Amino acid sequence: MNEILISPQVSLELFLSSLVLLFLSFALYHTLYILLRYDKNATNALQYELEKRSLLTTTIIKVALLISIFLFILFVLSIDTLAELIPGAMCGAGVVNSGIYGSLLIALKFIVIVLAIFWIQVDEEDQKAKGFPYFSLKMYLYIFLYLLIALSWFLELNFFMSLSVEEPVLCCSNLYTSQTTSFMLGMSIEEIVVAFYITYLFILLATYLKKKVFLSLLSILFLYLSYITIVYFFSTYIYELPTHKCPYCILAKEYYFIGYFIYGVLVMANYYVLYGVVFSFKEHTKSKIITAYTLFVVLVSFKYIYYFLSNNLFL
Amino acid sequence: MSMLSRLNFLLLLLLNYKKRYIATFLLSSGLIAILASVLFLSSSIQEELMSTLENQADFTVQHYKSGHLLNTPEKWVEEYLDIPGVSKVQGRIYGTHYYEPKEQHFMLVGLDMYDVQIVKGMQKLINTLDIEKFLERKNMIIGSGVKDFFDKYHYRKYYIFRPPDRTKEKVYIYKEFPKGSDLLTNDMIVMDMPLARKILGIEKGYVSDIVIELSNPDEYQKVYEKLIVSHFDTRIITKKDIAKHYTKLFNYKGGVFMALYIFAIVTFLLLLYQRYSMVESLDLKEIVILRSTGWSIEQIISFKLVENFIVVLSAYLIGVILAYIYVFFLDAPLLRDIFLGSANLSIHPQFMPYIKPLDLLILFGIFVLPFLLAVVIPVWKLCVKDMSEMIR
Repeated sequence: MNEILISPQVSLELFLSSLVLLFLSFALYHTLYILLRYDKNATNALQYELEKRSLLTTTIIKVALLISIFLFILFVLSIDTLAELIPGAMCGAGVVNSGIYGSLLIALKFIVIVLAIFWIQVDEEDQKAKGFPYFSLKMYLYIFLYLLIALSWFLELNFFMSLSVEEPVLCCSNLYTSQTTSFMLGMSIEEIVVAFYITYLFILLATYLKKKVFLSLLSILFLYLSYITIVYFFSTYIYELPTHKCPYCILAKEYYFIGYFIYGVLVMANYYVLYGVVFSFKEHTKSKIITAYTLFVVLVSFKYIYYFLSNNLFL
Repeated sequence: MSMLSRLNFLLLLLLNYKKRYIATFLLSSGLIAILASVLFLSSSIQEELMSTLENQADFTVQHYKSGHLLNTPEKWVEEYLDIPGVSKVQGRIYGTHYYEPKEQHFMLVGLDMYDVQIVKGMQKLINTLDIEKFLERKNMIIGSGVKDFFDKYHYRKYYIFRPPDRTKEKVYIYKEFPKGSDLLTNDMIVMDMPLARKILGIEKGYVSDIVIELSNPDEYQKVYEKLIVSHFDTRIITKKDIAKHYTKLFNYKGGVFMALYIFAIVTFLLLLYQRYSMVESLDLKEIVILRSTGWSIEQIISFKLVENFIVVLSAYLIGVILAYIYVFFLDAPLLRDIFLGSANLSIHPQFMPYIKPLDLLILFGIFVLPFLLAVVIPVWKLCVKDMSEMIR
């Protein structure tokens, strides 16, 4: 028996996610049932019954979202405690890197949360509007969401099983390399940071002009850029240590949990973009997108600018 | 209806129909209290052990040859002192004294009273002693477990040890260890080093093991490597090894309990599911009234979920408080034996109140969230029933 699997946090994590998957499967059965029989124009008793069935999916998703957010926090906390058991791992990042699919799993959990919030929003819009305009979107989106959650469950199981308490992990030595790595199109990190700010300005412009396609492409680019810049550039200023390149430790107590705010704002920003692109692009959506992105940029750049002002030099 | 008035309505309903939830509430708080006491107890003990670990030496070197633990040559002490980065090296004398008639073990520790101790707990003990008086005759300091044992077999003033060389050693009881250090000192006997050496039968030129302290903890790895190559018949125990061992042990004990506990939770949830599936007339009446006053099905579902959430949340709080009282005020009778082992001298420790936030999160996750999931489907089924049929 693997010692990792028996630790309380991990067994709870697996138990809860399995339970959620079980209930979501139940909802999936109803969703497929509805999709096969749904007829927009019919007004018979069957269609009313289908509507009632769709309420179940909504309710289960709401509870599942609540649990997913909880599990995400638990996941972050529990891999931090597992670092004690795994030789060579200094913090959660080492544990994430030591198991297979570690980083993929975190990214997937992130996407699932954004999509689940979005799904609930679609559902609300659908209930409000006349004639269920987003009904099939909602149903297909649910199937997609289900597949993602099932995948993340599978990855999580594999991840925890692959963790070994005997083999040492390379951990931060991967992140600590001093050689200059090129990321996108052979750009150096300074160029990426410039690209990050330029993309931010373009996003503001696209939001202001309400260019939906442009905005959605830009936000995907921005998500990628912000991951790279946080890991390799901004985090070093938060830690005030040029060799500490870690996306994970900013969630820790030592840095006043700033990471939760940074990632939380990023989730909200992407969610508003998704909302604005799919539904009508109203004035308040516009201001929300602008506020969220600006807040994010301010949060990550604050330490960087502060460091420069107080020391008159860069790391 | 605004949020606040809806909440008010909900609380009024809960107060009026207390009976409906009382069984669920009591059972839930009981289940939570049991798991919470296990988790609290485990982290409290773990925390205490970890904090004593801070006072331990950085390395412990044992002479380990062909699978047997041997006495360590004392001359190694000088060798280790020559390693750069090492600040203090000390040979220790200790071992177990076995009382055959009752199959009890005592931990016998010999201290050089005039030396500075690496193990800080021992140094504290020496600081409180009047050494001249202690060394006047053959004296010993005993833990409370040993004290109880001696009292039971009428060794009120002294105890007679039988060293391997067939002599007799009459050692007087000088005093007891202070209360509150029970977890470590319960079965311990401390005496002067030459006396302990004689009773345990350790020859001159040998010690039980050697403890090493570093001046700079950053040189840990370098010194560790040098220790490994210094002698090939050694076993080196590091502070980190011990910490890891503790974590593993407590994870294991808590984890096994939790794995079993999950089955209990699942059973409880199934019961809950059954109970909700059997529609009571009271529930039906309530839903019919709500729907005829213009509530949508969706509103009723979320209303019912919030109602259940409040019940389980208050059960959670009550359960945690009960567990806190049980573990930290009553010192967890019965349960502590699982964690501390009751085979040898019995321990009566006082647990220091310490709660990990992760434990509270685990408790919340293992009970409150599955509870919500279990009631989702029955509540939905109840709410979407045909109105006209329900009224009839």
